[in-house]
Amino acid sequence: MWFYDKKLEYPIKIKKPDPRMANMIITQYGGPDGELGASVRYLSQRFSMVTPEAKATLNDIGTEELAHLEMVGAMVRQLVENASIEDIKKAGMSAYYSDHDKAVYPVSASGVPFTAAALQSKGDPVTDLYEDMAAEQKARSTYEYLINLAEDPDVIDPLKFLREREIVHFQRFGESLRIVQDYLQNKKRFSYAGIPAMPETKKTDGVIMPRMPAMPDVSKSMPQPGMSNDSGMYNIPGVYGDMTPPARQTPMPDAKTYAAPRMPSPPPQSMPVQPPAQQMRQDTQGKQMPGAVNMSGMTWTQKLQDSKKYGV
Amino acid sequence: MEIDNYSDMFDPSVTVSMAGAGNTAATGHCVDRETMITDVELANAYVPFQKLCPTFTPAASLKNGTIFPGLYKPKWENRNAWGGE
Amino acid sequence: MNRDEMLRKLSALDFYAIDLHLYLNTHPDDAEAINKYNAVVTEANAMRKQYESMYGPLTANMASKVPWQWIQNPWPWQYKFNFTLAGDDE
Repeated sequence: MWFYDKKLEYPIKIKKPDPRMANMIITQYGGPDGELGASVRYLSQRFSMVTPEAKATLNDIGTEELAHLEMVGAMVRQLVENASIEDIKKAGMSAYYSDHDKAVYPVSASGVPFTAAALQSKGDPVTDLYEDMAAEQKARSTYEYLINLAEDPDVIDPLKFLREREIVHFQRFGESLRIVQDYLQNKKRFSYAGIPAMPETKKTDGVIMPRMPAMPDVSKSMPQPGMSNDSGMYNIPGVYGDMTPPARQTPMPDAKTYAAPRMPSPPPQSMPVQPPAQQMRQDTQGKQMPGAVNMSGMTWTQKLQDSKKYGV
Repeated sequence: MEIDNYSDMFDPSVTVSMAGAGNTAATGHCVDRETMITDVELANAYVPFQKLCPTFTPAASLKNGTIFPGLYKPKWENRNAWGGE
Repeated sequence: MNRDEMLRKLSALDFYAIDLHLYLNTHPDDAEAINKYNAVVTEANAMRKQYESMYGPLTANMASKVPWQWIQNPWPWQYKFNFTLAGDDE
């Protein structure tokens, strides 16, 4: 069930009325790629998900989309509530005003009322997750177009925040898809949720992830019974970043210098693991070519040999 | 609280401490993602798994929209955000 | 700390917890992330209690004074409820 937290996820504080922008931003309230559609889609699809990771992801991202719906509604309201009728007419918002005054009502930018025709809950969890990834991309693009139309930083900053959230959601849906795909296609689970993973086989392994060591005891970081948390303890080192961070020990990863992660024990693989940074792409004559790293690390001829070996 | 430098956005309490964990590269960098996906199927899409590396501070992350530097993609004016710079 | 600063700090901590929460939904074995989550949530809850004791409830299930505090203005969608992010020029 839902509780309401009486604050916005990100502050909306718009000083200058702008019905022109309100008329556009409202598409993320009631339009085909907006937050109402996203939350209904995810909260409906969650009932037919398999694996606990996917259920939690659908549940929690659907909940966050409701918080975004609230932000978009707040933006539309603040943009029109102090606007004059003249401004509303000039902004081309007279038709909306005739039906709704300065209220917030779920329509698209072109005035089409919200419809569930823009979303699907297909039942097949793989299908649903691909739909969710597409939905996040559509929402991201819409926010980019809205940011292109906006000029006021009070409007642009929340739109940028919402756009960035779509990117993060896409990553989470992609990870859920990996887990669900692997579960359904290989009937294998990673060692999550207490269900033991099946032994790895050469042919049918899904993604090979490094085996995590036995889980350390996290009970020390849990709040202890009897201890009061009310005394304004802001002295957890580093959590709020009030300290100057120490000199960075580990430089930021650079897209061009990735090396393969170090694995505790070499998993069975069809080819030796090479760090991509040192690996050069080879053209068909076997000449070394610098340039972008091939993600699978194999040339076409190697892939063919490999498929013959395993009878794929 | 002004955030002037990129490095000021980082939260020092998140470190990569587990030796042998999958996110420590041979060169000692923290790699926040899978870089090798094997045994792939046709007609499947694969999004690389993220791994934990140092995050932004809470204040910086609210401003940026995420706590993870690897997922922070602010530029898009030339439609290059999705593929990087 | 005035109300704006408190709300700013609480929003930042709560947001950090939300993003880490979504990460943990797909990485349930990541013990380091769980430790970090526990620390952030503890600090956020302390901040929340302090804010609520001074400015009223943020969620239901909190004891109220008279008159009923929950309904009090401003509500979050109103201009005057919100703070500006640190570092923004006014």
